[in-house]
Amino acid sequence: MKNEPAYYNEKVKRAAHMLFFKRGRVPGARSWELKTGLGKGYAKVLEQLDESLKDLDLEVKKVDPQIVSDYKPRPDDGEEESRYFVRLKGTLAPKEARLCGWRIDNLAALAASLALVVSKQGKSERKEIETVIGNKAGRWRALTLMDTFLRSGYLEEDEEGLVKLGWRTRAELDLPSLMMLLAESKASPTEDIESIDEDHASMDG
Amino acid sequence: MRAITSVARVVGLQSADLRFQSSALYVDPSMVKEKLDSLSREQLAEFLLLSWHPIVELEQLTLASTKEAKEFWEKMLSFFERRKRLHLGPFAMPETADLGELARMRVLDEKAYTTKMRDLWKELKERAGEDQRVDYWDFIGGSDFAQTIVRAQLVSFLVSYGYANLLRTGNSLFLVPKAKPDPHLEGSPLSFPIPITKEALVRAK
Repeated sequence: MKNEPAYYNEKVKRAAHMLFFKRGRVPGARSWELKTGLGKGYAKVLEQLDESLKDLDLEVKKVDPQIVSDYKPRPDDGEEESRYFVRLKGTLAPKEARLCGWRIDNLAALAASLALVVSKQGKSERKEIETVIGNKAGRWRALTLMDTFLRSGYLEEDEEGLVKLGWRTRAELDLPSLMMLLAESKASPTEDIESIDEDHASMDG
Repeated sequence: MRAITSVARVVGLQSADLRFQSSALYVDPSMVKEKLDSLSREQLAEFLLLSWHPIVELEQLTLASTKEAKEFWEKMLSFFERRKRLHLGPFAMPETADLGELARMRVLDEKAYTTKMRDLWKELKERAGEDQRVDYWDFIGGSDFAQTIVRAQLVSFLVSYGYANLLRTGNSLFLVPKAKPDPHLEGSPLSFPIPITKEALVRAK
């Protein structure tokens, strides 16, 4: 009992290492990996880690597989399939997003793609998304952005060529909030051309 | 049995559809499209930022990725094999080149520009002699047209940096060397373009 805090501290450190350092294509760690590395009480360790990360505006996020895109019933061993990530608790300011390499165009295109897929009950035709992005960012850019979103895991393409929400969207996006903001929005009278031009000049990729 | 399975599948799909419609994510697709068309890029980007909690991930070289890279390297055909596919003809082996050769190829200059300028200034002072001046066209004339252009360019720097003065008397131009360089700290007070054509050189001779 006397050594319990120290024991927990070690486990929390190990959990942080497992969640922060990317070991495969997808960041974070699966439930079974955490169970193997931290023991059966890994959920409690993650709660502790979550508590420690609060001060840094970070949080531990659990993502269940396919909860949004397919509405497949969760398997009995669903817990084993869950993945945990460390993500930002708050949100980024536009300037911070720019510093992370995100252009206004890219953010807008991602918002439009996700909204369209969600509105189509989780699946949409690739061409339709490209047309919607193309209206905002230009046709050629739409093709590149679509590939980028698929590659980075925001979107996934199935065997039938239909596009659905990817693992990264499930981990990073608060979709009800996005859809609510969209539904409540009012169009701005004119687009701020000047700021877009400035964005083009300062950012690339 | 097959019929029962099919019915179960239909019921399952209907259930998924109902769950989707009752969730906060249910939005009419045509309304979403309308909104996406009317909103500016800035508005869409802002909505995404307000709903976005990016994952924190640290990239590093892993054993798995190193193995993958090693396998790629080992499977890759040799340079000569890959070159054969491009039908580029016989391959000339690379050779070493010394400074003299690079200078002949005009990749490098044998002398630094400042040294060349100082040599020309010295030559100008010698040729000016007691008259303290030399005819501009006589002085810049080299063994060929290219050499003349090089000398004219160097002379322009001599004048700009205060190593010599350019005097205009009637239709003649004279260079007057200075004993000590007298640079114009605030830049050259005026620009004096001198067109060097082959005809002008012939006239000067």
